Amino acid sequence: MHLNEDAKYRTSTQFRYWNFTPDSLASLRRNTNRAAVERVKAAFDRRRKARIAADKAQNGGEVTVVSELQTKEVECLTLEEEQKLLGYYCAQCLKMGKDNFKYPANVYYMKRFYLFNSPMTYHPKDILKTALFVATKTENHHQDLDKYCGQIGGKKPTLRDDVLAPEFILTQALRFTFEVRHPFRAVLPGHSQSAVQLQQALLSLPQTSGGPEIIHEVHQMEKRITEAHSIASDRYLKNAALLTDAYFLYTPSQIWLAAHLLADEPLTLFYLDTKFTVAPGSNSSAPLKTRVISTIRSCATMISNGDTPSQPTLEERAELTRVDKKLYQCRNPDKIDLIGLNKAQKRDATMDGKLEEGLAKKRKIEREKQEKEADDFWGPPLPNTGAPG
Amino acid sequence: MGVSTNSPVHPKSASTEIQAAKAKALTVIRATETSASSPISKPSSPGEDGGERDLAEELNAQTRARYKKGKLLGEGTYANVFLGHDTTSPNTLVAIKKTKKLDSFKDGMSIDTIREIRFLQELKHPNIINLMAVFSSKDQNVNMVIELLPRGDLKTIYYRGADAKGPEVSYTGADIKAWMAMLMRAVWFCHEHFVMHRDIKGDNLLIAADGSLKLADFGLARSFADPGTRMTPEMVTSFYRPPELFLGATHYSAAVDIWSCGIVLGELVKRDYWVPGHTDLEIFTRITEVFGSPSEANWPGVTKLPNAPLINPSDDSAPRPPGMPTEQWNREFGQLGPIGIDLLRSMTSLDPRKRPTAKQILAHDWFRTAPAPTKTELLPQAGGGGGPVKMAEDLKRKPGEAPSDGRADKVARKIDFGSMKK
Repeated sequence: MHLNEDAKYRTSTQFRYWNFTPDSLASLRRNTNRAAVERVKAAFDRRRKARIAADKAQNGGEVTVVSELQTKEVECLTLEEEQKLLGYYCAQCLKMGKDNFKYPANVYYMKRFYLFNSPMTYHPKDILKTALFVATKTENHHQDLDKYCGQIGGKKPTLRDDVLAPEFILTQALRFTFEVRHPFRAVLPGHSQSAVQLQQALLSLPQTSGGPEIIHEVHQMEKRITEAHSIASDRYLKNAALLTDAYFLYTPSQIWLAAHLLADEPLTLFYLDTKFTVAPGSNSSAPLKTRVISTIRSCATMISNGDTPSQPTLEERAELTRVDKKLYQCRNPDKIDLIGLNKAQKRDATMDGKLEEGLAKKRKIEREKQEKEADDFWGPPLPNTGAPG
Repeated sequence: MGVSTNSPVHPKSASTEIQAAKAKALTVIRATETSASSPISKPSSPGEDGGERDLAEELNAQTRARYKKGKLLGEGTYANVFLGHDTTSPNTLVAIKKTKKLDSFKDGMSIDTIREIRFLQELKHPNIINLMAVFSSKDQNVNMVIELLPRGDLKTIYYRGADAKGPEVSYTGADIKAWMAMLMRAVWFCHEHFVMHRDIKGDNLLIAADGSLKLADFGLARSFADPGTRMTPEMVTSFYRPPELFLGATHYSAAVDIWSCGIVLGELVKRDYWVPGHTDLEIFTRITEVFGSPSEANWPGVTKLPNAPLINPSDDSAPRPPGMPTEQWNREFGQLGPIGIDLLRSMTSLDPRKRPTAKQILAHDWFRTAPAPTKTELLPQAGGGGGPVKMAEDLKRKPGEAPSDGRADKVARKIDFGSMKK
């Protein structure tokens, strides 16, 4: 009766729905971008044709004005541009989330959302606030929406509808899975475990002269372990690890160990050694250990590549501005007014509902009529007296 | 199409390309899923706003098309429950719980719904109710597809109190042992996944067609807090609420669930509520009468809990009930045998740190001494009290809500010691 870490992780939705190989992740993003581009082009095309048709009707069949809209092919964001923009907004999201949570699920809500959706369809600044609000509900930090709107701030005041309108789109795209498995839970136990194991290792060292020195070193080692733990968690896990694709590609324990490796490599390798004890003379676990370490190293590379200053450089800023301007030109015109869309959808559904209600009533009357006719023929049902059997 | 009458048909090439891209993306997603059961329908159809469907909309529409709603089983203020079936295997009946957007909750999806979905998506175990799928309907309400548990709940079987309904079902100590084993496996599984249920009671233990017991209603569940994080004590339906929550503890553990399980075990024997009361104060007083008064001696640290001054008057002359004497325990719970009584008393220890874990309970001798737990398929069933309609009643309830039988407080979650304040 024991569930190991891996068995538990494999039943999680993070593994079942949100785990990818590098290729499948890239291919999903490519397809999302391609589909969005086609839709933007189709939407622009429809509008252009509508405009020409309207012109024709006005001017008796002659096209008089050939505006830019009618000729210029819309330029869409490339996948790389999308990723740059998302990187920026996810960092914003992280900053917002840090004030509210220890575990910023909101960043991964954003990242998961944009596997299915393009910024051209839904602008990240519209999704940002909703992702954070949904995270306050899932992570036990729920607060009143009015209060939340007040806290969020921003240049323009945030309205209730700004937050609520995209909630439906977001939760649907998250496929109604709200749990994000973070590597943080491992940090503290891992810390104390390595401390205990280290002490045991030291105790098993052959006795040499200079006892007091060993005590001094134990003290120093404790400091080193504590430092490694806080660098791993504060510098890497709470920042870079969340902004990279690590959660899509690695397990929480791999991510934790990768961050620990970046913080103190020899210590982490020592810790891993204690996990792969083999009987003397046998090296059966060697291939597994090599595989584990190489996985952790590749995860560490990903995290350290994402470990950049939180403020974009001037060049990066200029590039972001350019992409954002470009996005302004190629947003899917059908999806800009999320609040309006949301209202329209609700209105349609209510009308459908009324229709269904009327139909249901009609059916009920018919059914009752049939039942009555049946009763007339067969006689009423026998009274249910619960007669002894 | 919602665009306008002027709008011509989509350019063919673009539309087919979108479909191709989308179909490919769907394939990518499916390849990563472990359950390959989802049927692949036509890859694209018009979306709800007239344009093409998003990938996410497409997946949602497929789920929605898969499960067909049948007749309404129960209507509540919080949710409606329908009978439904899986169109890919029409013999599979399901319950579809469609949550209502209450006007009183204007902050979007309700937190209870989000919690329930969050945890049930993760917890897959034979003794935990199976959430098979979630989809949203056009009116933006969330629909949860849940396995149909047609035999009602455990309370319907055991409860013979004043307002009991239906014919009495008799059962033995071996049956109690079987139900408790299934309950404890479910609780063990939750705790292994760092989830506290926080609303365990007979009404939330549903019975499947094969007689097995399933823990339901995760609307109050939460994951274990990190050391130092505050949690609200206003949880667990009052009759099943442990003393630390009455005392206002904001740091508590999975032991709250163990207390509730202990109360359920007691009720299985008594066939009535064990620690009822009209007010929180009445219930707490009853707790001290049965289990004894909390003190620094039997529960180190208890006097530091927020509500402790109200409960422990500084006046030492005030009577402090010592709890039920052992002979009374033996008389009332003789059905469990001495080993069973021992387990029951440890599960209901006042000090949460003294309660055994779910794992320790499962390893307890009680489950290994005669009589052996009854085989699941031989367990007695409710006569008339069950049925899908009873399940619907259980599903549409708001979490933490006690049955409205006049004895229970209706807004069960709010802890109210108002009458104590001087």
